[in-house]
Amino acid sequence: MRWQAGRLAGWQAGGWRTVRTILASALLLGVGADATRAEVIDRLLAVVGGELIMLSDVSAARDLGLVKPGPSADPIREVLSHLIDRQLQLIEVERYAPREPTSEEVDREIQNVRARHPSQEAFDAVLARSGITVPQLGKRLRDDLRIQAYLDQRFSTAADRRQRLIDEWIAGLRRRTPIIDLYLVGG
Amino acid sequence: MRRLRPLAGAAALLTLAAAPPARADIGDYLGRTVASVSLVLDGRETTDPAFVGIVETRVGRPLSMFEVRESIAHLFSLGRFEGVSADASMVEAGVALRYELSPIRLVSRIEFTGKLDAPGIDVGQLRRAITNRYGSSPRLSLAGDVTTLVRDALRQRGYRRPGLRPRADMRESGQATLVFDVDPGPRTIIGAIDVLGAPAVSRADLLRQFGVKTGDPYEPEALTARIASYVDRRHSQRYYETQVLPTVSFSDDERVANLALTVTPGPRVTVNYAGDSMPSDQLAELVPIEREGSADEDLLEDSTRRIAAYLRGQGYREATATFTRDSSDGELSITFTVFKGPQYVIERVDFSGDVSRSRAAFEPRLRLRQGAPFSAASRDADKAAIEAFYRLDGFRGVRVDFYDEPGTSILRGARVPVVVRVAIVEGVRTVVGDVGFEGNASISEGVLRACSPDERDLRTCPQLQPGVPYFEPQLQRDSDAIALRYANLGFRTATVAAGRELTPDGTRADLVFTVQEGPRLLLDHVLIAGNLRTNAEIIERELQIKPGEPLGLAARDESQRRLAALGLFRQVEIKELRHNSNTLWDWLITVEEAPPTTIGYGGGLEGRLLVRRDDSSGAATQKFEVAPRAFFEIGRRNLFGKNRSVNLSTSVSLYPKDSPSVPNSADTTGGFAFAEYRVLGTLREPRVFGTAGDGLLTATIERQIRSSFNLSRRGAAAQLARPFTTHVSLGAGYQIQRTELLDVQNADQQQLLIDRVFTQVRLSSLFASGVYSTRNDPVDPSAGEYVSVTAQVAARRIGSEIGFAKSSFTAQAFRAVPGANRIVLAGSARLGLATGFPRDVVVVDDLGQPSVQSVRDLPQAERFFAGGDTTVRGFALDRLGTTDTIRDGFPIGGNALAILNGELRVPLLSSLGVVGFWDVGNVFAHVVDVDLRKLRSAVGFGLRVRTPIGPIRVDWGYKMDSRPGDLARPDSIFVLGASAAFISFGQAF
Repeated sequence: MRWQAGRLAGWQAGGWRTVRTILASALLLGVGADATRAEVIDRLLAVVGGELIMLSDVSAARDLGLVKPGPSADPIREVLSHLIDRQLQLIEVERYAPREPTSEEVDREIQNVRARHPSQEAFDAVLARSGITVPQLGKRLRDDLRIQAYLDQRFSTAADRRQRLIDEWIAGLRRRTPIIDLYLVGG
Repeated sequence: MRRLRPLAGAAALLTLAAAPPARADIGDYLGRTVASVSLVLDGRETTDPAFVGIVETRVGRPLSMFEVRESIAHLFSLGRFEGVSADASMVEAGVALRYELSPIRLVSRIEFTGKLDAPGIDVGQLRRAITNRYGSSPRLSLAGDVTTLVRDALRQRGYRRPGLRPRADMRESGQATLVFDVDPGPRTIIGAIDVLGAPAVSRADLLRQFGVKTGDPYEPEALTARIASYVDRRHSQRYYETQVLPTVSFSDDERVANLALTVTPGPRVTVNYAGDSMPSDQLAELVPIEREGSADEDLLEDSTRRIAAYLRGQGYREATATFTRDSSDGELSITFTVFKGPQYVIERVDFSGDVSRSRAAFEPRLRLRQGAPFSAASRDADKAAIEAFYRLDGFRGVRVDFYDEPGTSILRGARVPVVVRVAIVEGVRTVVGDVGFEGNASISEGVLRACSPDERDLRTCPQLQPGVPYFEPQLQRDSDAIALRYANLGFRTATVAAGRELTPDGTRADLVFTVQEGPRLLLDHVLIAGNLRTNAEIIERELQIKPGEPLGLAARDESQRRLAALGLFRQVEIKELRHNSNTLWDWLITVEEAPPTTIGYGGGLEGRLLVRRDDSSGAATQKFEVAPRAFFEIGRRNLFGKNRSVNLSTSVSLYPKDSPSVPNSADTTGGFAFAEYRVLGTLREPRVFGTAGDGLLTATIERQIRSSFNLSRRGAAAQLARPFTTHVSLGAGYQIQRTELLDVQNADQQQLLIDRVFTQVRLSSLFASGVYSTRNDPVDPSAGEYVSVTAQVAARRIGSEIGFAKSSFTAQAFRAVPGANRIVLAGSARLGLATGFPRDVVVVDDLGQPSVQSVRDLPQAERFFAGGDTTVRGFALDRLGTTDTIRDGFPIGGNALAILNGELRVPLLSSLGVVGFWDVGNVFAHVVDVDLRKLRSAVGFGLRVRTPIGPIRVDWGYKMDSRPGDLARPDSIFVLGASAAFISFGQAF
């Protein structure tokens, strides 16, 4: 959106006036009309190496406690950035096949997530709102364990230096991997 | 107003992006009945089944976020949308669900406006740069990257700070014209030029070679290219260490670029060899100074190692090589000194310990043999070969040792005899005992143990069966084969671990394969993208699995192969989408359609030796006629999106109007006439009527020049052809045609006999054919075989005026000559047999009395002829035959034909080759007359020129046994009557 805004600024005056009119109309007619009753319940936020990240993924990561956003002005952006980085790492993990977690380890992780909720009903409600099933949650947690195993194997160095190396590595992954970032507010 | 809808879509995308995602009320919607589902594309509701069919949320069912996520994933996977979102709102009947689709905008045109007449700005070049990088229709969302590309291109022309304002003009079609308003600004010029270092030429000469001078525009890419060219030139003059390092500094306003060129000329390098001689054809490879353009120490040391290794491989066990560098007066002299020492030659090879297996089974593969040079490399290779032979036969612990000792022979020169002793310790032979499986819940042990005879993918067949020799590496291969079988059944993550247990004496190995099957993947949805013209059914028809079936690996590969084989697409990709599901995956099939219309054309010269009637004497004579020939083809594929195709192929030869080949050749007004032409229309329908066969309708109008007649023919045919395997296909069909003979040279003058020549005849026939072909190229094969059998029956009962049966057999083979570079040996055998059905005709005897006779003649146009550029070269067109098939010098054809051809095809240059050939054959009046002793032969040679339209060839053939009846060519530049020349297209066979 930043780019599009920049380009729009460069348009010829006549074209810009037309677009401005239409945009205003769209905002008034579309958004204004729907704001009273229609809700965006899900949408595509990013595509990383061909894999989709949706708004419901962000909701799931936050509500299940898989990602803990800080006191950010835009928590969605913060969680989304984390999920993008996670997907980039997962693409690398798939290439090198680190140690496979056991089913017991995965089950334990599911129970840890479950324990963050006051009741089974609350846990089930979060899953239902996010549109993911318990086996899918298990797959995500399994991938998280594999990523962790990969990082432990590759960056077996002192903690202070380790995070810097991981950040540099992820920055390199961001440069090399095609990422379509469709979440533009506050980004 | 025309722009309104696309812009409204763009506005929707913008507002979508700008709208803060609301999620607080999602829980209120969940579980409620879906009252309606709508899809909004570009601001308008769409009911396109391609979109609606892949939406998972259905009216009447409770709203599930899982299904919403799946729907968004499916819609986005189509590759047609930049954004997809789902909105929900409460209505009386439940939840109204709406999917908002923001289509990808494509740029169909790119335009430039502004100051385009500034020097150095080439709009075509800018446009090509965009097309080369982003294709002819980039996405509008890439406009920022495109702008950067254009800006960089302008900078390369010296415009350091170009003003570039992009603008997108949307059209009603949803496509955009991307317009760049260009204000290049001031052009940076070259200011001061400093030359540093010690260049070998004067400053002025150097700058001239670099193409730079003060005041010229600063074009960095062009300057870099000129410097690289200068360095390359120096390297070619053996100045391998020449370097030029340019540095640039700009004035504050970047209008002036000051250059500093640091030049390191380097010495001129000469390479000398001292000591023992080396084969000159090996030096460039062993000492690659010129190829690498370098003479550094590492390369020189590697070169000495390569020389020593090469010589040791030739039996010079003590060979060494050293080098010295000597610099003086700008010259670097590198001298390699080679010491070969004596050559060790094998006097004999003695084997011991090979008691269980015949030495003859492995000895022919060994390099070390009597008279061969002895080298460590050959010894190690032979050791590995013998051990591999034994291990493959179950001797797991085989050990092979080589010993060498001086021989007793006296050899000439500096050669030393060596006796090689090979000591083999075979050890125990192990055979496979039991083969067991564990963890195979989904596939029975019997299926895993051995493949059935009709197994399609032999890579999934384990080889280690009870009783066969145990070969350790095969154990892992069998594990992989079993895992592949699982993958083909949808168990993509199945792992197979192999274990073996040996009996104490080591003679038996019991095997156990432990399988971890993992989840079985099933195909959920098939999403098809990119098929703008092709009906989705055509694509789905080629898929080897359907939704709900196991996601087999082989099925995916085969589906991809079949889609590619349709010939409709430039690119086909099957991508598997998981969508966070463990067991249900989607297939996204993305196709890029090929252009629907294909056009081909070409032309050239054709030259043939023909039989003609001499104007003065009326006798047959031969004439070499040359004619310009042209062809034009146009085809349209994928008609109505159903993979039907229609093609029109035309060819024409122009002959001078006074040529005997042209009707009414008495016309002496000059110019050319269409003496020979062919128009062929074809309609092809794959899988016609739902069968596995392809339907083919053809219509032909043609005129052919033959030696003793010309013919005009119109015909149509319907054929059903079916490929049974990759190499075998069968076909059958019906054909009707009307043939008219023109300019008949040998027609009997008696009108009552006219029907024996059948100058006009309608033929209605059924035909069948079978083809087996493994040729690697149907036009110009270099490997493979081709066998075809055809049979044709024409009968009055199906509307033919004449009845006959005709068949032909063809067998061809193409082989690369071993050890020769791309030389191909080609052979062909053809046999044609025909007979007419009996019919009564009226004949007139010498006294003029008519009588009825039963004859079995074939229409002349249906008879076999030989002689010419595709049969037996050395004979004019149709001019080969027996006394029964050639009358008064004019061929009348026969009912049987036998042709044998052998050809050696030798490529000379990339597009030029020569051939030598030997052709044998003859035409016989009746099938019972076929006599191999009457075959006639010709030898000759020819030239082949490869062109985009196939090989053009020139052949000259010489009769091996010229006979008095053979016609002479009065104007021949060759031996009279003994040879023939041809200029034509394509290979002879």
